[in-house]
Amino acid sequence: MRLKSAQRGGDFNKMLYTIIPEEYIFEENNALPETNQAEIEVRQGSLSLICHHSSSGELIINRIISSNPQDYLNPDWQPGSVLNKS
Amino acid sequence: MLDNNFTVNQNQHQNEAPIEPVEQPVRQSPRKQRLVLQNLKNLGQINTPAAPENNIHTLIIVGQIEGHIILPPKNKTTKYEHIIPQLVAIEQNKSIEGVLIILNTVGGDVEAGLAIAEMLESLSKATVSLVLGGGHSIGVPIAVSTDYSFIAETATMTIHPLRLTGMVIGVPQTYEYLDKMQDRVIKFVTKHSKITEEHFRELMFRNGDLVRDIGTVLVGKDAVSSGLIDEVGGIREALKKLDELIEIKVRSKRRGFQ
Repeated sequence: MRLKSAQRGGDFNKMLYTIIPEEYIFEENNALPETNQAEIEVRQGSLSLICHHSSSGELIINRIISSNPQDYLNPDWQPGSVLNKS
Repeated sequence: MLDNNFTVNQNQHQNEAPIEPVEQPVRQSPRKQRLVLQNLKNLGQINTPAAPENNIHTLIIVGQIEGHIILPPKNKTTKYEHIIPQLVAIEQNKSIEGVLIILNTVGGDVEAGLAIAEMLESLSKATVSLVLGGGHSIGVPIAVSTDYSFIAETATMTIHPLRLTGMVIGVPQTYEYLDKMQDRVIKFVTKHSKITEEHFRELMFRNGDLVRDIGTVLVGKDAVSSGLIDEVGGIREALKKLDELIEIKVRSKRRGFQ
């Protein structure tokens, strides 16, 4: 019991203040297939682009993280598009 | 250069149309050229209007607020290490005058949540928060940390006590520690909103409102009438208020220099 708790994040200072039950947050769900798409964070200036590698090796944008709302309108950074390496 | 090739090819297709001397365009970087070509291929158009300099930036806090522990991938999270540097950049950037915080969070790490709230509170720019959907648990201090707060009519805020999870040692110190952590949240919320400590504690420990827990759910107007949030409204009201606050800040700054 103790080992399990330590495995899923440690029993020290685990202070989550949330309405979602803890069992649900840390539930080990084997029904979901393990995705091998590791997320890669690419920084472009002040914004972060969360990407994954496609089967052909290109970087596909999953998510933009920026505080400038105009960045979300940039057609080059739409989720699903290929990131141009530069 | 690639652009030029493209225009030349087009002209050739048009069967000996007189090739007018194409004015040499402003030299573009290879990256820009590639972007233009990709755009042309995907969308059939070249022009992407340049985004104007924006004086209002936004932070969107969704899902779980992730702090010291990386949560399993099925959780949608807002990461502390993404938010804090953005706030630092916003504070440093002179062209940014206001920040809009949009909350739709179920709560999360206490320390990360309080850190974000403290950062927002100490920001010199005008700040407005808007609770959409939900601003529960640790989302409450973040919502009240800004200069002015809004809640959508249908949005909810759940106020409930902190819980200790994982392995709990049944000694008085455990309870004291929990109480201390809870006090951090209560003090921050009562200091930065119009709600009194007594009323907030009463909402936090109320019985019978929640099925599985003690606490209270405040929907839209209730959050305003309890003094937690300033006003019911949406994006229109929030941006209008932010413009007003920017105006006030700019004016007072000007007066300060005179």
